[in-house]
Amino acid sequence: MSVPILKTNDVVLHFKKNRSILDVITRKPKQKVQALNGVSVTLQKGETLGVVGESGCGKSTLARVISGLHKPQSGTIEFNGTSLADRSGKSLREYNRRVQMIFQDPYSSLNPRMRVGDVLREALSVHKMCAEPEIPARIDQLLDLVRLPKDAAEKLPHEFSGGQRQRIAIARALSVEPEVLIADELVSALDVSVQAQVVNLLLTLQDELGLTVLFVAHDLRLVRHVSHRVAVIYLGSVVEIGPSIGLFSNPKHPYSQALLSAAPSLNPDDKGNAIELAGELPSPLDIPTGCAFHGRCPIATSICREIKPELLGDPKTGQVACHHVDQS
Amino acid sequence: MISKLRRLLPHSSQLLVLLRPGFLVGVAILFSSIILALFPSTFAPFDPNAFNYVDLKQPPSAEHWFGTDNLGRDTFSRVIWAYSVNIQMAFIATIFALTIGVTVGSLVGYYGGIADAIFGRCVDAIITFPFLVLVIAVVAVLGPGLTNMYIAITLVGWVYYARLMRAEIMGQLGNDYAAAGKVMGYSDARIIFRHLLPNAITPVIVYWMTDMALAILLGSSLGYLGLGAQPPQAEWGVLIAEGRNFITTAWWLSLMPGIAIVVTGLGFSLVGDGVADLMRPRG
Amino acid sequence: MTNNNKSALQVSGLSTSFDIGGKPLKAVDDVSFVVEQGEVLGIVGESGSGKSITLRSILGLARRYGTVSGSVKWQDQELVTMPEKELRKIRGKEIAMIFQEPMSSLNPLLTVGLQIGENLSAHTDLDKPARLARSIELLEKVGIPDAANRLDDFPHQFSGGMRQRVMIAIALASNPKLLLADEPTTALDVTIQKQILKLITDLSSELGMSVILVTHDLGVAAQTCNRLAVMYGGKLVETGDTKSVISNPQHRYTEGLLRSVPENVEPRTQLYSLPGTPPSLANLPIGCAFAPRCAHATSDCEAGKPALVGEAHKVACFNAATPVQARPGVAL
Repeated sequence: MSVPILKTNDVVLHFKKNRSILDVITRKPKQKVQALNGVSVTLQKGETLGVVGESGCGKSTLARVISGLHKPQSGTIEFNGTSLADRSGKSLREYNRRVQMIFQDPYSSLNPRMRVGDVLREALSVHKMCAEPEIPARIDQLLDLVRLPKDAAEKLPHEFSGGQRQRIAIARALSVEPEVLIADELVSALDVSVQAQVVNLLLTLQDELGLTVLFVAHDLRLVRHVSHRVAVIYLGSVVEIGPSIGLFSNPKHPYSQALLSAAPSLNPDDKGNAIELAGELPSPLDIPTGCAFHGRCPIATSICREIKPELLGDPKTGQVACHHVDQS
Repeated sequence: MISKLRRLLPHSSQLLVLLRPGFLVGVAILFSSIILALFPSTFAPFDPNAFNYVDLKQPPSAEHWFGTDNLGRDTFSRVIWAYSVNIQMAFIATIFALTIGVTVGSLVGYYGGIADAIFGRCVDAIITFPFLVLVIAVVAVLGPGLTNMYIAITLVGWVYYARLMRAEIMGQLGNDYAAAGKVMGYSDARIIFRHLLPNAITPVIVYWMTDMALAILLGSSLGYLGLGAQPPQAEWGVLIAEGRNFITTAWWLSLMPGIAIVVTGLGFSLVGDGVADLMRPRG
Repeated sequence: MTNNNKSALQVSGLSTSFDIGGKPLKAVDDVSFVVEQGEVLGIVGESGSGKSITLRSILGLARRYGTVSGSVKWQDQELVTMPEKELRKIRGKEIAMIFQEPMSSLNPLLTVGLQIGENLSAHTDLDKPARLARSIELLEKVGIPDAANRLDDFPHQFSGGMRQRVMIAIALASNPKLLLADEPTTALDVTIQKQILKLITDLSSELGMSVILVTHDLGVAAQTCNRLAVMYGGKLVETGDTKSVISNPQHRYTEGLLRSVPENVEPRTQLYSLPGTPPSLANLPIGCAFAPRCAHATSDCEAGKPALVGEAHKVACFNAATPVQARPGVAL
């Protein structure tokens, strides 16, 4: 088994919540947003790992931790075998070059005052991707790669639509020739008819350039379409992870089942399994004990309240973190 | 250089803003003020310091447009010659506060943490006191005079710029392009000064324009109090002070420099509004 | 098709345009449809299609900023020309509306109880104890646990899904006959979305309330609505029974939209995608707004806009797809 290109080991990240003067006076206990509570995922070279979950589950935080924006409190991130924590300065910049990210909001992820050509030029020159005189040609190549016209280089972001801006963001990410691309809700902010265009582009580029992709999204259909493997996250922990086709056709964890049945199908007759989840999503400030899902789970028992289940099973066929699922 | 300029002015279509009457009036005032400041001898008919014991306290007339003062000096010429000092004030009193404030504000806004906490206390300490009172206090320590006045204003004024810059930078940090810069592996310096600052600076520039108008006011006030420019130097505040004893008999002595202050301040203000509209990027 | 006063709402030739810097922007262009009593009509479209403004125009919320023409007949009353004073009696009482972002449509400074109470004071004759009882009843009806104690809570003390339920409770306070829902679940998680949509459809059938649901999510529309109306560039391009429109789309846009969704498609293959982007309402072509993106456009399409024609299943197209491939996996 080859070394995975990227691996997170039991990553924990809690954000301190700012306390107001009133909180201090009334002696309220310090609160932490427990965004990630021991997440371990692996990315094999060339594959797409989809990450799904609802808001507050930590999937975007995971994306940001992997891309180096946040430092985890504990746990490690390994890239080609070496830990991210050991990197700083030049080697950290090297990591950034090889692990790139595209953000959700196409309207704020581009500097509104920079022309597209300058955005790409900056990336190319900071990382010394090519000699100075070759830069204009390289910019043309990149724009072509993301199917944007050449004159886009002279324009400002506000002159483009959301879908086009995402393409610019993709071009920026690709300009430094990364090996891993993290797409954090790449198309969520785009119209449906445009989403397909951008997704198609991503698939093509991945095949052409041999990219490894971490695809974070809340749209299950899209994730199923794009990913080789999928991880389902609930309140900062992976509850199920496995090959995409298997997980979507036969989800084992009760939350995965509920999530899949909730996605509205285009077939008016297909009402889904109608799994109703009781209650609301707990706040990441106050994660329930034991299995975080026990409060809403239809098959929870007393052990679920006390002990947090481990992620067990064969990575090849799928792993689940649940006390009541047969691992065979 | 041209491309750098183009970056600050995103839309040529917005140059239409320049045709608005308010802005044009402001530019006219500013332009003429600067010309007067640079070439006072061209426009002032008399020597501002020339005594004339014949025509004492003459009201405005064809020969002396603003009349003469108690020493026979031509008020119009004195007002004109004051331009170089007062316009200078607008820039010198603000530019250093701006530079220091923008730098400190950007760093503090970006890094937060302890630096921000210390900065916060600094701001609280300085802002608690009325601006004028604090400036006077510093001048009292350093001694009266134009240079010390500039030092005092800068020492107190930088905080206001820094506070504004800090807030703007923190606002920009909410945008993903800042995070994108980090993910691209760019240095903090590049992210702060190349990406965040140009997007955060517009309100600071607008504040600066208003501040320039206020600086003239402040400088004149201190001149009036004898803490800034010293008589017999022609400076509007000094001129007003000199005319103070003759308000009822020779009202033109204090009024004319007063009007000059108001008109110039208005000019800066109008230009500031136009600049704000011009620099705002769309999207 | 019955055409007696059972038809709750009749919209005909509704047009709304705004004046943006001298240029007229036609956000809603000659839109006509009918909502029967107790039915759920879905208006589907992407951004810039005019669907939200259509909804606001029905309730007279758009006429303050733009020009509204045409006819909106509610129970034999004409709403487009109705004076504001009388329209206010209908708003919140007979026709209610809920919005996408519950945090900005609920007043953050007033307790939930006060906001429900406000609606009741304005539109009913109930006295204070009766209003209190009704408020509790409403919160229970929308599924908020421990309703009696929640009346004194502020909106920020509720989660997103709960806030949406509160909005529905306020909307239902005076037993409206028509509910206008503008993307009510777009900002919610998918499991919560399912609960809210079920709530809306349950209430609709229980109270005989008609619903117009505006959404960009075809799945939501397919699961909740009896009939669909597809909007593009300010006009209706296709209307009909949900099953009929989804399994047998006649307009190329509807077809393209349905096919863009990755359902029943081989994973990691290229998705069908419509070329181009939705048009900006400020720059609509003279002819059919969809023609620039349509593979079947002819010169007729560029010359003028097609009218909405048909029987139960209507389409606005000069060369509609006949017959069109049924969507795989969906039986008619």
